[in-house]
Amino acid sequence: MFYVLEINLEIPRQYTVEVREPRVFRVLNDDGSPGEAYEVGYKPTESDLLKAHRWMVLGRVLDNLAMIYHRMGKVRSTYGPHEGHEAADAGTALSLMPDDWIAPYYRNLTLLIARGVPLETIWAKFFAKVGDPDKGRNLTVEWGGFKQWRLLSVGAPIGHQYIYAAGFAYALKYRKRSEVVAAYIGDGGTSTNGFHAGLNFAGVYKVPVAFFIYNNQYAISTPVNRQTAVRRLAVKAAAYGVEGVAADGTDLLAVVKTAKWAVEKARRGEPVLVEYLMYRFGPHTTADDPLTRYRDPREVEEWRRRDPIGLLERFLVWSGIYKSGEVKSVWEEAEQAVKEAAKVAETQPDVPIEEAVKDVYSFVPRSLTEWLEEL
Amino acid sequence: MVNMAKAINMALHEEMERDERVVVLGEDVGKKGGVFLVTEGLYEKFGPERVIDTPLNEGGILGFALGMAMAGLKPVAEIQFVDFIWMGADELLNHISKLRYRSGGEYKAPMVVRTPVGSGVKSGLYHSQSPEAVFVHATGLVVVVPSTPYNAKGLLKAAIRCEDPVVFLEPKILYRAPREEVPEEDYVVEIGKARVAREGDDVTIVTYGAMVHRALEAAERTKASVEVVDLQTLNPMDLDTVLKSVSKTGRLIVVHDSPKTGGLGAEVAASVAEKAIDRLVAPVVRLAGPDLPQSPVAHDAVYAPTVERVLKAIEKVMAY
Repeated sequence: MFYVLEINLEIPRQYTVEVREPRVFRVLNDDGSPGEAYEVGYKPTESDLLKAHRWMVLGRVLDNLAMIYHRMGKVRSTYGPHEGHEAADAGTALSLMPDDWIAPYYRNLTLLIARGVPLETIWAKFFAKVGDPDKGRNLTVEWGGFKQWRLLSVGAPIGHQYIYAAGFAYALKYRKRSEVVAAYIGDGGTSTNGFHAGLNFAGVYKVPVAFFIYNNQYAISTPVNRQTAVRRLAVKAAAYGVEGVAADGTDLLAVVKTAKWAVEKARRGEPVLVEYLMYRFGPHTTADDPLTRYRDPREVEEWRRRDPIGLLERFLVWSGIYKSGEVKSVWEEAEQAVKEAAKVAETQPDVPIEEAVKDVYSFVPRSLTEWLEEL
Repeated sequence: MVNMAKAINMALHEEMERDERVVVLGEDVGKKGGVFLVTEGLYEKFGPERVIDTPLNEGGILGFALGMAMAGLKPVAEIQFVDFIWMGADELLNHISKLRYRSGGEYKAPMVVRTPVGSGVKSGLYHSQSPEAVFVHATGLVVVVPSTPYNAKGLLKAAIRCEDPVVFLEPKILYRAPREEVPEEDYVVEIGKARVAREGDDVTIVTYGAMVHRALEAAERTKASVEVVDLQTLNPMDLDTVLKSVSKTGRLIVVHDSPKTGGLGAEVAASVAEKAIDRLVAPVVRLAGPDLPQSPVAHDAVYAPTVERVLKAIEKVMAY
C-alpha cells in the first residue's frame, strides 16, 4: 500500500536550497561563424589557433591509426579513442603555462600532443616497446610516467586524479610556487569518491586546481542521466564552495576563454570546476561496440555537426586565417608524421623481463629475484 | 621512561624539525593532538599548514597525501583507526602502492600512513581490526609494526626517510604501556630487519607488535629455551633471521593478533617449509586470532592469542 498524508507539511521556499542552472557558454555557431560571446574574455591569437588546429588533427589521425593498428595486433592492449575531445584538450592546453601541471584522465590524447610528447613516444607506449616511459606496464591510455611533460600519473580506477591533484596543488602552495594543476575527469567520474574528495579538499584548503569535466554523454554505455539527477554537472561546484561554469567543449574558442579564466583564477588560490559538453564519437574502447548495443546512429550524426575539428576549420576559413586548400595540407602532413613515428617506434626492442621487477619498491625484494631465477 | 604514544610523538617532532618537507595530516590531528594524543603539541609548534586537520574522508586523506608526496613533500597521514582505511582502499592499494611501478619509476610516493591496529581494548568490530596481511599482499607497500617505545621511534623515523610508501601499524594496546627509556637523540631502526627479542635454543616464536610481549612472557614462564623473533617489518620480511633461528631450534610457532586464515602466520610457515623444512623436528604451529570479525566486545579478551595459549603451543612442539 502507498499512503499519502493529508496534512500540510509545506516548508516555505526561503528555507529550501535553490541551485541556478547556468547557461552553456558557446562561441561558435554550427557554420563556424562566431556568436556574440566571441567578445567575452580571452581571445587566442592567430598562431594559437593554428597550433591548436595542428594538435587536434594530429590527435585525430593518431587516434584513427591506433584503432587500425589495434585490429592488426600491433597496439598491444585495449585502446580507448578520444575522438570528439580534441577541442577541449587543445583549448585547455593553450590556457596553461609551460610550468603548469596536468592530472589527466585517459581520454586526453591531444593534450599529450599539445604538451610536446613526441609521437614516437606515444607509439612506443601503444606498442609496449622500449621508449615507453611506463616501461610497457600500462594499458595504452593510462598515462603513468609522463613526468617530463608535467603530466601526473593516472591509472584505470578513475576519480583518484582529482584528489591527488588537490594534494599536489597543496604542496605547490606550501612551497610558494605559482604553478597550477589542471585536473581532468569524465562524466562517469563525477560519481566517484575521488571527485567528491578532490573538490571538497580543494575548496577547504583553497588550492590552485582547475577541475575540468569532459561530459561526453556516456560512461561506457551509461548515459549521463543515469549518473546523476542534476542536468548540469557544473552545478556540483556549489556543494564545495567553488565556482562552476558550463561550456561547449566542441568549440575551441569557448574552451580557451573558459579555461583561461579558470586557470588564472586557480592560480590566485580559487579552485574552479568547468564542465565541457562534448560527444564521444567512438566506442569506450576497442572492446566496446556502441552502435549495436546502446546508441542510436542518428544521435551520432546529430553531434557530427559539432565535430570539434570541422567546427574550428569552418571558423578558420570564415575568419580568413585559412584558405580552404591549407586545411588539406595540415591533414596530409599529420598523416605522414604519425605514420613515420609509428615506423620508428615499431623497430624498438621489446621491454626486457629484467625491467619487470624494478620500481615496485626502491629495492628489488628477494621474492622477485627468485622469480627471475625460476623463469 | 616513555610509552609508545610518546615515543611516536617524539619521532614526529624530531622529523618535522629536521625536515620542513614533513607534514602531518588526518582527522583531529591538529588542536586535539589525535584521538590517542600521538600528534600532541605538533600543531602548536608547526602550525596549521604543516599539521593539517582534514575533512572526514579516508580516501581524501590518502589521495591528498599521495599528491603531496608526488610534489616532493613527506606526508605522514594518520588514519584514525585502520578499520576506516577501507574508504581509502583505492588510493592505498591501487594508487599509492603502484605509483612508482606504473610510472616506470618517474614518480615516487615517499609517504607514511600511520594507523592504530589490534584487539584487546574492547572496541568492537570497527576499532579492533588488524589487516596487515592485506597490505603485505598489495605489492608496493612497506609494512612496519613496532612493538616497543624504542623501536617505534626508530622505525617511524626510518619510515619517514624511506623512499617507498610505508604503512605503519601501531598496536593500540601498546600506546600507554609498557614504558621504557627512549633516547632523546636521533636514531633509526632499520626497515627490513627483524630483531631477536630473546635468545633461546629449543623453540622459535616469530611474532610482531603486541604479541611480542605475550611471547616474551610465555618464554619466561616455561622451562623450554625460547627464542623470540620480532619481525618489526612485515614487508619486506627478514627471512634470513627467521631461517637462522629455526635452523637452530627446529621448532616454529608463529603468533599474531589477526585472523588465522590467509594471515602472516601462513606466509612465515610456508616460507620456512620451502626453505628449511629439513631443519624442523615438529609441526609448525600458527597461533592467531580466530576467523571472526575482529573483535566481538564480549570475547575481546580471548581474541588475540593469550600467554596460556602460547604456553600450550610450546608444550605441544616440545612434546612432539
